[in-house]
Formats: sequence, C-alpha cells, structure tokens
Amino acid sequence: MQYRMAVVGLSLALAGCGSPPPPPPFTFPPPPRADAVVSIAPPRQAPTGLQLRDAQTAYGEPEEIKPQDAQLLEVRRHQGLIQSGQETMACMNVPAARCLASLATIARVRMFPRPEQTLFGDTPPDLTGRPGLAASIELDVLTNGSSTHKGPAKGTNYGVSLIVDEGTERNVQSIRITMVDAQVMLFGARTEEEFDRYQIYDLFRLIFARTCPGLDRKKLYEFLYLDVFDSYNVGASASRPTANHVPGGFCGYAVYKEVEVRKIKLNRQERYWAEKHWRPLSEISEYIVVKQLGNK
Amino acid sequence: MINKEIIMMGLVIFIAACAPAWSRQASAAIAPSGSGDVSPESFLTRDPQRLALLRHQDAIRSGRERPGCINLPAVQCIASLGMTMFTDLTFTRSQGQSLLGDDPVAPGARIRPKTIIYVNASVNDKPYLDIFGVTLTTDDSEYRYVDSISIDLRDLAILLEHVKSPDEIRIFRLYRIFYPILTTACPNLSENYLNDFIYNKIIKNYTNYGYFQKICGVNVKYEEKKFIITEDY
Repeated sequence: MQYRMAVVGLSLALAGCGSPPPPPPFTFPPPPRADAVVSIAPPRQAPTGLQLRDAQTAYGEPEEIKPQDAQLLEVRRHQGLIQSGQETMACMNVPAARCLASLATIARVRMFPRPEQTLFGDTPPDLTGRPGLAASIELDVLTNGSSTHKGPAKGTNYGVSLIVDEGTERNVQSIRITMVDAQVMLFGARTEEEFDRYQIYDLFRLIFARTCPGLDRKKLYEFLYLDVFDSYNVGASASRPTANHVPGGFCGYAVYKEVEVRKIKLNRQERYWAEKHWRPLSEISEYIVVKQLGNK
Repeated sequence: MINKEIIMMGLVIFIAACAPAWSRQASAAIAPSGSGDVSPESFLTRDPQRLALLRHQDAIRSGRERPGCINLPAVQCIASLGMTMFTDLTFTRSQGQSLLGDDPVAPGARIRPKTIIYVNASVNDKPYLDIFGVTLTTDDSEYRYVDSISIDLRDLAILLEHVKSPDEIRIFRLYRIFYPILTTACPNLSENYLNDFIYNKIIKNYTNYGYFQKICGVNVKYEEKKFIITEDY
C-alpha cells in the first residue's frame, strides 16, 4: 500500500501539477512598421449599380432574380446610353427607366419587387382585365461617400420614391425623398461641411439636371437650408422672401418638406404609462418632396 | 499489473490537472471555438472568413498591417481587438454558421450576410471573467466593412459611472479596449489622454450627455452602459 502511494506521489511530483506556472503578464504589441498598410483587404468604396432583393431577402444581380424583364432591359439600355455619352443623366419628367439608370450610375440602387411583380412593381391584370400599374417606384439609394470625401466612407441611405404616370414611358411626375440614415442630422445641418456629409447634392444634381444643368452646390445648400428645411419652424416660409432666395421654387420645381404625424394607437393603460415615462404619443416622418410648380 | 494501473492513474490525474492550465495561458487570443480548452484550428478549417481572420492576425502581429476597425473589414477589426483582449466568437456560430455568423446555405444559393456580429471580449486574460459584449455593425458586402462598434460594459458600467477621477478609470483597463480602435489615427495615444477624455468628455459631461464626442477620427458616445463608436468624416 505504501509502495502504491509513493508511486502516485512521485508521478504527481514529476508532473509538477501542484502549482501551474502563472500566465505571462500582458504586454502591448509592438507598434506597426513604418511601411505598414491600413488594410491588406481592398479599401471600402460605396458601390454603384442596381440590385434586387430575392425571396430570401438577400440582394443580388437583377438578371439572376428577374430574367427577361422588359423594364429591366429598358433600364440597361439607358445605362448603356448614359455610359457611352449619348444620353444625359436626368430624373424629373423623363421615363422612369432613364431616372433609374441615372441613379444607378452614381449610387447603389436597391429595389424589392415581389416575385409576381415586374421591376417597377406592376402586377398582372385583375379579373376585370385592368392592368395593376404601380403608382410609385420605391428605391433604396446608397449615395457614394467618396463624392464628397477622400478617405473610405460609408455613404448615406435615402429612401427615394419615384411617382410615375400610367403612360407607356412611365414618366416621373414627382419625387419623394425619405432620410433613412440622416433624418435629424441633415435637417439640422448649418454649415457647408454638414451638408456635404450626406451627399444630398448627388440626388438633386440629377433631379434638376434638365432645368439647371450646372447646379451650384452652395446655392442648393442655401435653398435647402433657408427654404425647405426651415418651413417646419417658421410656418409658411414658401411665401416669405429671404435675402438669398425669392419664393416660387427652385430650378422650375417646387421643393418642400412634408411632415406626417400619425397618432400611435394606445389603450388607457398604455397611454398612462407612455405619458408617465415621456414616451412619444405620435410618430413623425418627414420627407423632401419635389414637384412641378403649379401642379398641386 | 498493479504498477501499470498506478502509472495510468497518475497519467490521468496529470492530464486532468495540467492540460486546462496550459491552454489558458494564451492571453489576448482569439477563440472561435468558444472554449479555452479547444484549439481553434480544429474548427472551421475551410471557412474563408476564418482564413481571412488568420491572414489579418498574421499581418498585424508582424507589423505589416495597422490595427483598426471603423470602415475596415470585420475580420481585421476582430483580429485587432484580439491584440489586447481575449475575444470569443462563440455566439456568432453556435449552430453551424460561418465565423461571422452567416447561416449555412445549400450549394449554389445566395448567402444572406449577417450584418451584426456579436463578440464576447475580456481584458482579464481569462475567458468568462468580466466579459464585455462587443457588437460590430457592418454593411452586407463581402468584406463586411464595419460601420459602428458598441461595447456593452454590462456589470462594470455602474462602477465606471461613479469614478471620482480619471486615474480611477485605469483599473477598468478601457485603454486595452480602445487601443486597437483608436490607434489607426492616433499611433501615440496615451492611456492618460484616453482616461481624461472618457472622464471629462463622456462620463462627467452632463451638458452634452449621450452626444457623440470626437477623438482620433471617430465619434464616441456613452449611453445605457454602452460605448458606441462610429465613423467621423
């Protein structure tokens, strides 16, 4: 018995398990070398082009998800014309395909038509034979951050709705822009740099492309700051002349901010709780709307 | 016969007592497998995201690549955090997902990228002790460029909020959390400077509480026990 204990004790002592060595103290890694790169992966760039959402909510190439779609072919034809310089980029009062092609040239445009719909969201004819033409085309536009910034940048997400007519060309009648990323920040922007931060010029350059070909960046910011965004605070500022702006629209279009306030439905207990804890009782969404003058 | 039994017993005791102690010595390491006792190499051998992570770890250790997070690939961010913290990616791949949490798909199908990556991290050199919840929000591109980082201090938050001087922040080792993220723009960031910033601009800044403050090319704010770090350009 003693012999057994001795062997076990000896094996434990040999292994040195009574006190495992402590971990080495933490030291900061040496600084990177002088010729170190920021990343061995390619730098971040905001992509451009058109993407569609499939049934599994993953985004992919439009041709994979909607092959042989006539409206997609029309968009591709306009993209080819724009790239070869035979057509200028434009968005208002032009066919929706041309506006989409223009947006996809400068930004990443994502669309999410359902499987039974066409690219623009038209559904097959109903039982009376009337076609289900979409009144508006919903887009998710990620602007190219490198248009205003040198380094890697994320870009800004805007929700853009193209309100179209029912003609064969589907001309764009008006445009509604929702700020997905930048709601409060852009409406509160005060300096040129703050407006640059969200690449809003990229969108308005296309919208005003036909009436104001060489749109001045600073003039656009002044107009948005003084007239469009200010209307929420000052009331009817569209009729209020300012130092830099004469009322009556911009580049031939009416541009204004639209504020939608919806009451949140609450029962008695929920309302009591929401008031007690200063929770919002209504939802507010704000849009920038671009329309033709005198078209209201 | 008896001797053999005894030797085997000794061997078993030896393995049971010593093996975990050895493997836990790896400080500031990445543990994609989740447990400190299992080597990450035995998992995800062909996962391209894991291979990319190894490439970034290698490049950062050898000094060829700068550490960093914001606007950089998520694997580079995780490799950078692993320089100074024990990081643990168990949560992203608890059910057979890829390293960054993408669900397995049938061959030929489109991958649905996960744009929120949950990482457990600790500055205590031991897994499962004072763990911070680090959440990376990325875009859905192939490289998952990081948009923002949220560091949830969990139980330590209440202690941090009541410090009385910048020097008291030192025991929380926040420098080791922020070092990999801020060192891209500020290679010479000192611990005192960071602690002063966190004390004066973040925790005790009652006039602008919960607003973003700028440091080293990023925006930092503190709300609901979390540091939130986003790009600033």
